Amino acid sequence: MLSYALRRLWQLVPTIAVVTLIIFLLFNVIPGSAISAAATDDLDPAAVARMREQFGLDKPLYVRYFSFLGHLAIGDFGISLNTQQPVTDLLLPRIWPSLQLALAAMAIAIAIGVPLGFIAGLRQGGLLDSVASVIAVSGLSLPQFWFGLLLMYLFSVQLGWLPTMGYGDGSFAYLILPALSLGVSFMALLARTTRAAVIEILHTDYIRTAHAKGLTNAVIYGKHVMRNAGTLILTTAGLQFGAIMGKAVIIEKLFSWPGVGSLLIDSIFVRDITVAQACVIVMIVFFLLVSLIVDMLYTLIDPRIEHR
Amino acid sequence: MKNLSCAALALLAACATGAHAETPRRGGTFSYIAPHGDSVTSLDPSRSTRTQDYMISFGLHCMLYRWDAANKKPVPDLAESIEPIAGAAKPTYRIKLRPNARFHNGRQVTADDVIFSYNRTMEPGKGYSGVRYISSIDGAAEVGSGAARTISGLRKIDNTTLELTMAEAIDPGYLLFWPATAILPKEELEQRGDSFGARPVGCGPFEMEELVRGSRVVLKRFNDYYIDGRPYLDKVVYNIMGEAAPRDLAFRSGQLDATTVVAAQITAYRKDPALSKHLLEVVTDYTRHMGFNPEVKPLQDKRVRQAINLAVDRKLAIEKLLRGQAMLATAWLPATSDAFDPSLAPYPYDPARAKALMKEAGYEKGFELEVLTNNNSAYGIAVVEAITPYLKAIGITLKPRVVENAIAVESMFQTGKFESYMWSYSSGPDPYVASKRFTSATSRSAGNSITYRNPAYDAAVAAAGQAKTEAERIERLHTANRIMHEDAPMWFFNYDRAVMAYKPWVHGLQPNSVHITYQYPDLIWVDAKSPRANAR
Repeated sequence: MLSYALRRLWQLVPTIAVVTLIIFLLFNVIPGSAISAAATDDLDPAAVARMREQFGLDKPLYVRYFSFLGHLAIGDFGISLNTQQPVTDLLLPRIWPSLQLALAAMAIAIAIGVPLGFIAGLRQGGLLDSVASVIAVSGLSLPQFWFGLLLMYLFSVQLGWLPTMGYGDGSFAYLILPALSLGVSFMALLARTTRAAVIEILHTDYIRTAHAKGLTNAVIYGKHVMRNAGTLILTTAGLQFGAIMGKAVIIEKLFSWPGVGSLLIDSIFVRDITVAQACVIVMIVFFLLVSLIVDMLYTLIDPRIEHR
Repeated sequence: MKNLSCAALALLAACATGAHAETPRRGGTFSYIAPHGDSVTSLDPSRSTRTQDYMISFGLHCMLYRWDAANKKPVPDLAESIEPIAGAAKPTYRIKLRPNARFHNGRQVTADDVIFSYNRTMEPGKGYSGVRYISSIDGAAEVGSGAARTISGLRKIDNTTLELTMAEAIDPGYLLFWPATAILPKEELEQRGDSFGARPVGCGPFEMEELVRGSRVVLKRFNDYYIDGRPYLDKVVYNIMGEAAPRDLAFRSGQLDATTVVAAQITAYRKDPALSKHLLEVVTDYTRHMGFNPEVKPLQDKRVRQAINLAVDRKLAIEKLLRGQAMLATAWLPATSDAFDPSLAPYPYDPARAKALMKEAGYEKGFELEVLTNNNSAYGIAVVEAITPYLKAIGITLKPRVVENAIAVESMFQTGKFESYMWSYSSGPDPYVASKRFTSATSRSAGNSITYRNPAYDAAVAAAGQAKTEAERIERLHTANRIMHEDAPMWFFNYDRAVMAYKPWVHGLQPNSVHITYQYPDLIWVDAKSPRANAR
């Protein structure tokens, strides 16, 4: 197990190298630069030349790339081209808000989506199933931005219960609306996945056998159905959770939530390559770590699975 | 008429913001917006040119002048008095600083700080944003080029007095109110290094409390501010909100005390009995236009350029597309400018004349024209799409190319790779500086993106620079503006009319034509009805 985990962690290295190389190349192919992004009404050539030198943009691409990798190896993300601040100073304060949002959104998704899908699966074709399906399909098809605005309108403007936007002091009240907006599509996906898994399992031989043995529904659903559906639910939830940082961009923008996603988008608009690289690396590491944890959890749910 | 309408707007704004004889209340928090994108770059104003950073810098930093929004003039601020010295070879001023001015670290602001800050701005190899303002001081260009170490046009007289000589006849007030010319403490810059932009120390009415990038900036009252009794507020919160829809909802829910209103929202605000009572409207110093690249053959013909100006029903576009949130442009200088020429008639909507001009120019069959633009609702792709049928009617087929700002700026000011562009340029507040932008001597990178060349225009602007009286200066600038109007090197679209909505408990907002979001927070106060009246 340990060697498997280490092997998976080692995979981070080539993944990061490839992804950062792609970003480096892309930033050099697309027009516009950190310098032109910083300008408004004019672009003094002398200042441009000075800034190119200052930012190291006058050096060949491969020199800059290997220099970046060299610094990265010792944990140095470099200096932001846009703010002149160390990238870590910009990035670190964004990680906890991103994690808060991701965890809260997933908690909402799991807390609502899994029971909803489970009940819908057990009552296939019934009223509960129809209601759950409507909720799930709506959740999947609702544009996040629009749903977030609706929530703002209802809970902030009309009811006045929750703050409209911002991070505030990091308190729970500020987290609810963005987490709901972000979590709704994951909730819907989990509900659909759980329902499908439950329906499939209910038609298996071992469930029929369990019924024939006279086991109670509570035992069958709790012990056999839920446990067997767990692997698929965990896979879906894990994949969604791993990708949630990247998917939170729109919600972070909408609610002025200071997460990694909004930092990434801002840095792309101002061509701040060093910050963009760092954000992507954080997202990759997060994704791979979550995937690793999910893989480890498989063995708890299904002891037949083992990692070599 | 222009003065009358501006006066009416100013009066309306003054009444609307409750700027009448009420005693300002001390305390409370003003929850404001930072709507220009989703980040703060640097609160060291010499390192930034962004509107977002500047609007916050007006609270943090102090400059020699401040912009008097009501009278549309720069007035002394950190400077207690600024007197011209008669008989000097070049325009020279004696500046007396406020003796009680202090930085947020407690140290007195002195003449040495002014000289240090301006010299730092011109430091070669740094590319500080204030260069465009400071370089008009005599000897500043030499420091910028490395030929001198200190600006010869700045001389310390005593601890709080200095003399300033300008290289040419530009009113220094129009330059030295910008945050890029803020007076900064040397010791803090040295000690904090690059982190100064996130932990700035200034001498403005508020000091830094918190910066949460991507979310908010919080400033708290500086108790040793040099203007007695100010600031009134305990705190100002700048909520970073780049999206218009959530801003609207946050304002309606009461989380914001003031917000900008975009064209798509203005009708709803005007129709709402409560919201419509608290709108601050001001025509600002921005000229929205379509700039023509003179290297594109058809655009070299003045008749074609004039035809484009005649072909579009701009009034309808402003009314329908921008919901009236703009003012029809006559020429380059905006309606807010001292040198706006009310006798100059805007190009009328005359498609028949436009077609005739196209025929005269030999382009009866028309041509294709690429337009570089962005997704801005007031001067971006929506406008290009709206005018496309009008220009198609005279044979011109517009091909929009929607790009991000970084790409557009590079094309307009660096590479010149565009046929035409649709954009909004600042055209104020000093009409002379705004007019100089399009003289032959101004390079593309320095702002003359259309590389406009007209000796008659150059001569008129130069004459304005040498004028002995204000009336003569204005007359010369009128002449320059008329030449440009006739020459039509751009399609003159509109002057921005910005709108800010505010809560009834907010007082002291300023109808700032330079930019409506540039609010001096020391003038703002909230009455007891504010939900944040006692928030600290």
